[in-house]
Amino acid sequence: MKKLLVLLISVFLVSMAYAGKVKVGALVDLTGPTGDVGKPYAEGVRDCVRYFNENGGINGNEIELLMVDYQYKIPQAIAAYKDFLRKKVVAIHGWGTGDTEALSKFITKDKIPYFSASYSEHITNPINNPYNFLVGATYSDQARIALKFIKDKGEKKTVAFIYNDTGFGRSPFFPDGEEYAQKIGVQLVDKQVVDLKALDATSQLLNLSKAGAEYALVQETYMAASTILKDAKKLGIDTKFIGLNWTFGKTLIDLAKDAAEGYYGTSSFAFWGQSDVEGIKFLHELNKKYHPDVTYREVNYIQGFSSMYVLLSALKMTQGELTGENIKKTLESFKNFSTMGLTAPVTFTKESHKGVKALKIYQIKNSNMIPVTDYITAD
Amino acid sequence: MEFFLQLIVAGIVMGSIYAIVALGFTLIYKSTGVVNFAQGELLLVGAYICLHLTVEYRLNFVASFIITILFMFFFGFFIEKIFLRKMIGEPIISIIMLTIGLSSVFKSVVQLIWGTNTKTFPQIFPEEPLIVGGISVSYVYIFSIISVSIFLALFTVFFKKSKVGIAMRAVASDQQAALSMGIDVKRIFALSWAIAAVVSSVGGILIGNINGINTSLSQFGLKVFPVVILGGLDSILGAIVGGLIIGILENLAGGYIDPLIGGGAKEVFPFIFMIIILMIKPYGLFGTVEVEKV
Repeated sequence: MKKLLVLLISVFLVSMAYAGKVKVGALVDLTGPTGDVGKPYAEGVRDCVRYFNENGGINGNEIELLMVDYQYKIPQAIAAYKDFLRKKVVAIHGWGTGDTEALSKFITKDKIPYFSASYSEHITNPINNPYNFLVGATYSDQARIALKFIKDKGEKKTVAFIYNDTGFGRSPFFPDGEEYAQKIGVQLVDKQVVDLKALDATSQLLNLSKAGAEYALVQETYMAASTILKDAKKLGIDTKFIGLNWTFGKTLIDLAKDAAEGYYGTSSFAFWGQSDVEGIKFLHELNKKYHPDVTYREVNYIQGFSSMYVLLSALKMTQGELTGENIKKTLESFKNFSTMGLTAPVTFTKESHKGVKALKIYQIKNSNMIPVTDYITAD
Repeated sequence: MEFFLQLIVAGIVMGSIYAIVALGFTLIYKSTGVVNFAQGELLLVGAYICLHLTVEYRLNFVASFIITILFMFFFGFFIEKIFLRKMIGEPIISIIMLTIGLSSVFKSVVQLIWGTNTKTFPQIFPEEPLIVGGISVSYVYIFSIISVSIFLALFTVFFKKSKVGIAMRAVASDQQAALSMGIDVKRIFALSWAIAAVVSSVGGILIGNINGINTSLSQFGLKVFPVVILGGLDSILGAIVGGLIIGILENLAGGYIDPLIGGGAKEVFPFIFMIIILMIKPYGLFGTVEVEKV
């Protein structure tokens, strides 16, 4: 009898502790192949939750973040997703292209608002993926804006695409980038595949140079982008390179050193050094408080924070119960929602779940990332 | 012609790095009959230690390089002594499983100590390339070829002239006969692991200087598999020749076939070539043909 009483009290206490908690799942890659950008991203997500919890949580309810390091493996992502559902999360923040695509059918069926760090355009179409949302310009939009930049700035108006032969690598260019280049009259003169782990890109760059590409768009991550820039410098190739967002950050400058000078990059997110941006000032203060030893944050941290900031803000703004339908309805009412300048204002509609369509083009000058445009869109 | 020569030079450079990492596989297989699936992690450990000494202790790169080599020698030695020694006589599949297990452990320990962020060596080699007859080569690549050549020359002398080297060849050739001649086979096994750890770490340090280091560097250990298979699993000469062939073929395929098919030949062609060679020579270019008499 005594034992039963203790058990009942324990169950009561546990349920009391969990009552009033809003559970949010997060799939992150800390130790897998994209861990170099995944870890700072996850830190941004975590800090955002901490900030919200210290400021009233979700309308007085504490946020419980269920974070799983799925190591960029789709089966682990599916297992974690099922566990999230069992634990009754109200929304999930995800990570890669492959796993977001694999989960999309479940997400639609289970009506779980799902934010992704994959900027693949096709998962932002609400007809096929009504519960998927994205904060950040899609890969296709990044390519379109870079092509528009070439159209405006280029003399020969010729371009080459450099990509890794994966869904992530092809996403910005085929068919979106190809079609847009044709539409605006930028001539696509070459396409080159460079593996994500390539140590040498000599043959690809020699071919690109022979094709006469004035600009080349690069869809890789830091390491391959650094190989490309260093080999281009070694070979004396005068093509100008514009990297999409995962190629552009301080790590690239550390890796490529002088070869990174003059390199352009697309980013929907502000960088740590832009202390004139309200959100960056806010993050500097937040980091002083949470992590006094940290003096620099990669852009990936800012990406993670911004995306989670939008998701948690939506939870706060949702009227009534936190159901998938209600949260979706709130998100679809977002119009020019401010992320304190960490991104361009965020807008979701019933027709489009691309939260951000604008980005700035930056250039590396004296090892600093300097914006060379204001926020621009492809439209 | 300049295009062709540039491709060949780039191929030789990459091939020399493949060769030295492949050498680690071959040395262990030749002496002990074990395919070491933790080869990539030996590369990882060596690269991180050299980086740590250079960045955290601010040691001169050459000093860090030498200390790393010494450390890796003992590291390899103790891996054999602590883990592999107990497996002598056990089924080969158990030993392979053990090396796979070791690879996970080493990778996890590296992640625990150094994290997963990409780290870079400080500027060690001049950034401007050396241009000879219109062909550009980075200084880090020149250092790669020189260090690989030195190691290969040292091994050739070691195996041909030194007593221990000859003993290692004897063990590789016939363990029973070597034992009956009084050769300490266990010591030879440990030495094979020690040397394999050293050459792998050299590969890791070179790659780290070219492209930075994170834990994905260990994948390079498996990337050289076609090199080892092509050369012949138990042939040191095969590892070197196989490395150079794959390096050159990759670049020629990238230069001449990629434009025709729209890319990707550079990654795939070495494997196609390897399959063709294996169909003609099932033990690789220089592998020992096993003769079984019934």
